[in-house]
Amino acid sequence: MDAAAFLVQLLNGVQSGFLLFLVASGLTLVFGIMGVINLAHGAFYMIGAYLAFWLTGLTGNLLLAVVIGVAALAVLGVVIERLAIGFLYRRDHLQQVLLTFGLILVLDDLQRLIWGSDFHSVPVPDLLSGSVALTTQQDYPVYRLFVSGVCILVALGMFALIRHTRLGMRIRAAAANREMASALGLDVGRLFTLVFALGVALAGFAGMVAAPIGAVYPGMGDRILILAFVIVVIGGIGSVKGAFAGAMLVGIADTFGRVLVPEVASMVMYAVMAAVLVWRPQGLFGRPA
Amino acid sequence: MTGDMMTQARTPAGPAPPPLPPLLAARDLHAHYGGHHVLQGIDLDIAPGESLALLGRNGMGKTTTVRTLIGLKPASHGTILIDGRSATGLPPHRIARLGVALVPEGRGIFHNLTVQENLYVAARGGSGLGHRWDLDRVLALFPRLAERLDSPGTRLSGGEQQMLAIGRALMTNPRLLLLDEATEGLAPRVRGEIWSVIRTLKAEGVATVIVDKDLAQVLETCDRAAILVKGELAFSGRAAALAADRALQRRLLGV
Repeated sequence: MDAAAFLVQLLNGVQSGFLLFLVASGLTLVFGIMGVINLAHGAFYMIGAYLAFWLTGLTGNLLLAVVIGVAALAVLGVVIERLAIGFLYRRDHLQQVLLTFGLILVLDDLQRLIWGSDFHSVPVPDLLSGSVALTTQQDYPVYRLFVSGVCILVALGMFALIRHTRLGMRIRAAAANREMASALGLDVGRLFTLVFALGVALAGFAGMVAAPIGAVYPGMGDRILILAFVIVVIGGIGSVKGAFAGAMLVGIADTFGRVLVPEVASMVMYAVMAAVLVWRPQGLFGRPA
Repeated sequence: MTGDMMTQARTPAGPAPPPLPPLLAARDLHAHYGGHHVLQGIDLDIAPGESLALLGRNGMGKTTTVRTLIGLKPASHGTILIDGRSATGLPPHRIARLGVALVPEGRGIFHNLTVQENLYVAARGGSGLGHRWDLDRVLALFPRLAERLDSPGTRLSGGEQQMLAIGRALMTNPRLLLLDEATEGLAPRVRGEIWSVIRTLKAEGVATVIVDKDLAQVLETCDRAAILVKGELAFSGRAAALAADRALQRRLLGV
């Protein structure tokens, strides 16, 4: 692989890492703060991609589709948290896995009912459809760079929300000691609803901006879910910083794996996970159990 | 327990009863943990600005009473009134917003928040008492916290953590402060500071329920005292009366 091809793959890996981070951060937040294992997280990514397809078709504008879609997903998140997830907080992980697995089935069926089983694609917006020259022979699509940029902004926004706002402070307090937070007058139930809706919106947003890069198809959330779990485990469960490091590792390892060792590409990320866990069983940024 | 004590509970000795309606009134509170009947019919009245020492040997139900009052442990039977209105079965955050704050056993500092964030996280205005608590006033009360504002909450000494827990509760501008094990495990000098702060709060009109093992201090500080024995009130009356009655202390508290 020459330097230019290497650079292209590295950019692809980083961009895929950013997208994966958006999905994994929602998963790790919901687990770290509420203690809920949400298997349906990938399904929200899929719903996001379908919403991007559908709303772009309706409005002719991906940006508008994303704005409407994110709002719709946040509302969906609130509804699902109120109707289902909210009952899981004090229950064991088996019950959480059963209910959220059931949610996957429901969301998959809803998707088939509304959009059918065909593969779809979402056009890259005209404004972002060009390429930039990396070297004299090598171009790189602007849209992929745009996706990385947007993901950086969203990630920074999320860090700022958690670190520097009163809402973030309250979320951290509720995560640390739910009883104490409520005894001080914080409505922990409402905070948890918000966090869940945020997680759903992040996963859906990732699905939306990823839609023009790949295809939109039934079950597309499953692979993402597994990747997101691998990332959360690598990074340390509950750590957003860890999710970022894990997402970059997996994004880059997966991308290079496909190019360099295509026969065993699907195993590369698991090898990375195994290596990290041998070295640090609690994950890169996890607290020792 | 004994009949005469319970009579005393209903008609407190001393001058006229408090002129104000109780800030908090609990009637016939029961609580269970698993099959264990921990509270077996507690009646408590706390008037605005009044301080109550909640006493009893270990395992008699003091912490459960405190947790039940703020809603962390739902009562299995009985009623709680705040300002004469039912607060029975309300979730803790609703009770807290009616003006009740907790300084729990173990202090419950948020380990992932700085000292300043611990103070700000639940800050609220409006108890209608005196002038309101804000960061400046809390830091004036606990100057040692001012030097540690950016440290993680758990990087503090036990005494500083207790100050932080009290300061954090004050930032919600409560009318009633529940202090469970107010000075447990603290150095004598720090204990003295905490008692002096509690007296300051009293002077400001904040009502308190105080659980503490330092009998002499807690009785000197509080207006009234209640003793729990096996989940029932064995004594309820003036703190001074209990302080003067060594035989009663020995019988109900084993001291």
